[in-house]
Amino acid sequence: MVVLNRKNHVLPLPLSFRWQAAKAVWDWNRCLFILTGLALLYLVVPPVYFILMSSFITERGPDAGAFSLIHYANIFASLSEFKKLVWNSVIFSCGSAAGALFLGTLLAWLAERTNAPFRTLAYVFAFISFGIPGIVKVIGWMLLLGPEAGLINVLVRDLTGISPIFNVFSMAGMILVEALIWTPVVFLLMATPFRSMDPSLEEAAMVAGSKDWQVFWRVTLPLAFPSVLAVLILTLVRSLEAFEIPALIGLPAGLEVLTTKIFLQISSSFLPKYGEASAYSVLLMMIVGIVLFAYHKVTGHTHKFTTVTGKGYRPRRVDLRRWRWLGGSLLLVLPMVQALPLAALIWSSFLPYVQRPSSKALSLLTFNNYGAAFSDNSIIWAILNSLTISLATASATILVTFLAAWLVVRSNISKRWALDQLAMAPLVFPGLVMGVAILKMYLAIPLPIYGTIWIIFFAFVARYLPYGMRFSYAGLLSIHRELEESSATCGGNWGQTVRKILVPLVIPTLFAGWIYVFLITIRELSVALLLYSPGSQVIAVTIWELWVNGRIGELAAFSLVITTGTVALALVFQRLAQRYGLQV
Amino acid sequence: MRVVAIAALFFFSLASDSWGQGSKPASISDLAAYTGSDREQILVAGAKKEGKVMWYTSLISYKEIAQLFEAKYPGVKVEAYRGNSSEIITRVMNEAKARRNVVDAFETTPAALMVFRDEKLLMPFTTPNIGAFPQDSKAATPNKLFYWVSDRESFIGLGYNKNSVAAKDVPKNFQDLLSPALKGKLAISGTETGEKMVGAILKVKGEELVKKLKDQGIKLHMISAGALNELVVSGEVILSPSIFRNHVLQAQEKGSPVAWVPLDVVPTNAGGVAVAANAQRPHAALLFNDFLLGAEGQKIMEEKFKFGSPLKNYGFTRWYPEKGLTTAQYETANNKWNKLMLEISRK
Repeated sequence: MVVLNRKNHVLPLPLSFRWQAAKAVWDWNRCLFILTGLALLYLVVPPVYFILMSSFITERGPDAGAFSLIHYANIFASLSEFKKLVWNSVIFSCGSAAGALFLGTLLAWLAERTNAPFRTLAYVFAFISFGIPGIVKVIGWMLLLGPEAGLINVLVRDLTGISPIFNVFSMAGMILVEALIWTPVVFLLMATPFRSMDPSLEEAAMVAGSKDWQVFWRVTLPLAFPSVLAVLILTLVRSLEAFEIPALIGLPAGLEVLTTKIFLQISSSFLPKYGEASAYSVLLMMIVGIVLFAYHKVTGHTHKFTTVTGKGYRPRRVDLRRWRWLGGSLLLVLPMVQALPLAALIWSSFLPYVQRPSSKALSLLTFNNYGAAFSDNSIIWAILNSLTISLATASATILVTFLAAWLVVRSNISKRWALDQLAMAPLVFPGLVMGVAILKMYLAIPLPIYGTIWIIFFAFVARYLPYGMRFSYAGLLSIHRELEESSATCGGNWGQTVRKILVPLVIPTLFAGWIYVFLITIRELSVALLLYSPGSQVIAVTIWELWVNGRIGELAAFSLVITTGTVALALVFQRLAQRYGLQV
Repeated sequence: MRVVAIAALFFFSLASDSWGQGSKPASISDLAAYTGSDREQILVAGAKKEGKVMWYTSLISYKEIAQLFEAKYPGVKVEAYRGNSSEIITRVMNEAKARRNVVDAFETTPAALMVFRDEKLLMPFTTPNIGAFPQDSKAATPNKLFYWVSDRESFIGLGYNKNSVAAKDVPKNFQDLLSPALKGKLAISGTETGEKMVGAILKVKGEELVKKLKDQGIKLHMISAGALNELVVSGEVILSPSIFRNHVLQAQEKGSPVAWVPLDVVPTNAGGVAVAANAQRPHAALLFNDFLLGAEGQKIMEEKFKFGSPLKNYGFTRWYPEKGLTTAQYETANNKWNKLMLEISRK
C-alpha cells in the first residue's frame, strides 16, 4: 500500500487523500455498524428469547425446566374466558382510539383551520399533558368520576338528584379516560397535516360552489386520511398496551384485558405464574404485531396521497362566524381535561382523608400530606432514581439510535436495513411485557443488575428505541448530504464533518428527542412495575405504591410536586418543537 | 514494647475467658439465639454500625411503626418495602435467584413465612419477651428457636360507610351479603385479604353461596385492604367484606364515618416477624424484631395500631386459614379462593 502510494506520488494529492479518506470512512462505518448492531442485538433479541422460552417451559414441580405447552393449554382450556379478554381488549382499544381520534382531529381542525379562539392555550396544554404522569391523571379522574363519591358525581347529585351521572368504573369510563389521555397527542399529530395542506384543492371546491362543511367533509378530511389512519393505528396499539386504566378502572368494573391478565398472573396468585404471564404476553405481542403490520402497510403507501408536502403553504382559515365561540369552547376541552384531574388531586392533597367539599372539610385543610410525603427518604430516592434512569435512558437511546439512523441514511453498507428493523422491533413490546421479559432475562444471565436501577435502564432503552429512531431520522433527513460532501471537498475528514457539520445541525432535533424520551420514561409505570426493588423505585412506581397502600393524601401531594417539574420540562419541549417544526 | 505485650496478653485472656464461658455470641446465628442481659446493648452497637434495617412487611402502618423504632434507636434507619404476601414472596424468591441479599427482617402473613421457611430463607431466632407469646403464635424449630413469632392478629370482616348504608341493611353474616339492598354496593380487595374472605365463606357456607355473590356486582380493587378502607372512608366504596378491624378503629379515631362488623367467622392474619437467613444487617434486624415483640412494642401494636392479641377474646370466632396446612396444601387452597374471587368479580 505504501509502495503504491509512493509510486503514485506524482498523482494529484487530493485524489490520494480522498482515497484514504474514503477507506477511513469505510472502516469507521464498518466498525460503527458492528458496534451499533451488537448494542441493538443485545437490547432487543434476549428479551424476545426469554419471554418465548418462559412461555414454553414448566416452572415448578418434578418437570421444572422441561419444554411444555402447558401454559398455552391452560389459557385455551377456558377458551370463552380468553375470547372475553381479547374482546374486552379490542373494545377498549378501538373505543379509545376512535374517541381520541374524533376529539383530537376535531380540535386540531378547529385550531389550525378555523378562526376559533384559544388555540394557543390549547397548544400549551397539549404539550403540558406530556408532563403529567398517566397514573396521576387516572387517579384524578377516579376522584372526579367515582360513582359514589366522585367530586363531579357528588356535585351533580346535589344539584339535580341524579346519581351517578357517569360511572368511571365501566367500559365507557375506561374508554373515556384513555381517550382523554390520548386526545392531546392526536391533536398535535393531526395539527401538522392540517397546517401543511395544499389549500388549492379546497379553494377549487369553494370556487365550484361547495359550502364550508362540504369542503371539510369532501376535501379536507380525505386529504388528511393517511394521517388519520396512521394516528388511529398508533392510538389503537398504545391502548392495547395500556396498563394503568385497565388495572385501576377496569378491574373494579369487572373487566379484564390482556395486560391486566398478565399482571394478575404475577401479582395476584400465591406464587407468581411467570409461565402463563409469558404465554399471555406472547399472545398480546402477536395481536400488537398484526396491528403494527397494518400500520406499516398503511404508512408505506402514504406517498400516493402526497397532497401534504413540505412546502410553506398557508391554508385558509374557515370563518366560523357565530359558531366561533362554540369552537373556542371546544378548544378549551384540552386545558380542562388536564386541569380537572389535577384540581381533584390538589383538593385531596390538603385533606387528612378524601371527602367531598364542605364546611367541615374546609376546617380540616392541612399541609401534613406534603410534610409526610417529603419526609420519607424512599420518596426522595425515587425522584433521584427517576432522574438518573431517565437521563441515562434518554442519552443512551438517542446516541444508539442516532448512530443507527446515520448508518441507515448515510452509509452504503448492504445490511444497514437490519439496524432499522432491530431498533423498531420493540414496538411490539407492551411496557408490562417488556418488564416480564427483562426480569426473566436478568434473573437468568450472570450480569448482576437485578435489584438495581440499571435493570430498569436496560428495559427503558430497549422499549424506547423506536421513539429515538423516529427523532434521529427526522434530524438526519432534514440535512442534505450535500453539506457533508462540501465539508469533505473542503478537506474535512470524517470526524471533523460529523463534529462541525452534522452534529450542530441535528442537535436541536436530537435534543427534542432526548427530552421526549426523558419525559415518557420519567412517568412510565408498566415497564418498571415488575423490575423495581426497595431502593430502586421510580416516581410512577412510588405513586402506584402510595395508591395501593391507601395513602391518597401523600400521593396527591407528591404527584403535584412532581408534575410541576415535569410540566416545566414539557414546556421546554414545546418551545423546541415549535422552533424547529418538529412533530411529536 | 513490653507494656504492649502485657496489654495484649491481658486482652486475649479476657477475650478467651468470655468466649470460654459460652455466654457470648460467636456468630450471627449465635447472636440470634443469645438471651444474655446485654443482648440489647450488643444489638444496638451492631445496628448502629450497620446503620439501617431493610424491612419487608405487609403492614399498612409501616411508616409510623418505623418512625417509632427510629425514635427509640437513633442512628438506625428503617427502610421498608410494603407489599401483600404474594408480592413479598415474588420479590424474595427473585432476589434469592439473583443472589441479592436485600431484605433483613420480615413482618408478613404466615403463608409467605411458610414459603421462606421451606426455601431455607429464614434465620431461626429468639427474643427476650418470647415467654409472653402462646405456643400457637410461634413457629418453633427443633432447636428451641423460632422461624417466626406472631406479633399481631389482624381480623378480616365487613367494613362500611355509616353515611351510605342504612343500619338495617348492614350484613350480620355471610348469607346477608346476598341481600338485594346491597346489589352494586360491595367491593373486595383483590389481595390475599379478599381471597381469605372467599375461603372463609367457602368453608362455612360452601361454593354455592360464593358463586351467588357474582350477581351482587362485586367490584374488585387491586389494592390493599387498607387502601380499600380509605375508599370506604371517602364513601366511594360503601361496604366491603375484606376490611381489617384495626384499620377501621384507626379511621374512627380520626372521625371517619366507618364501622366494622365480624361475620360468621373472622379470617385472621397472625402476622409474624422473622429474620432473613442472609441478612446483611443482622444486628439491626434482630433489634427491630425485639422492638416489635417486646412489651413496649406489643403495647404500641395493640393500643396505637389497634391490632388484636391472641390472648384476648373479642366476641367472634377466629379462623386461621394457614393453620394445619403444608405450604403446598395452602397453595392449592389459595389458588381455589383466588380463582373464585376473580370469577365472582368478573362481568
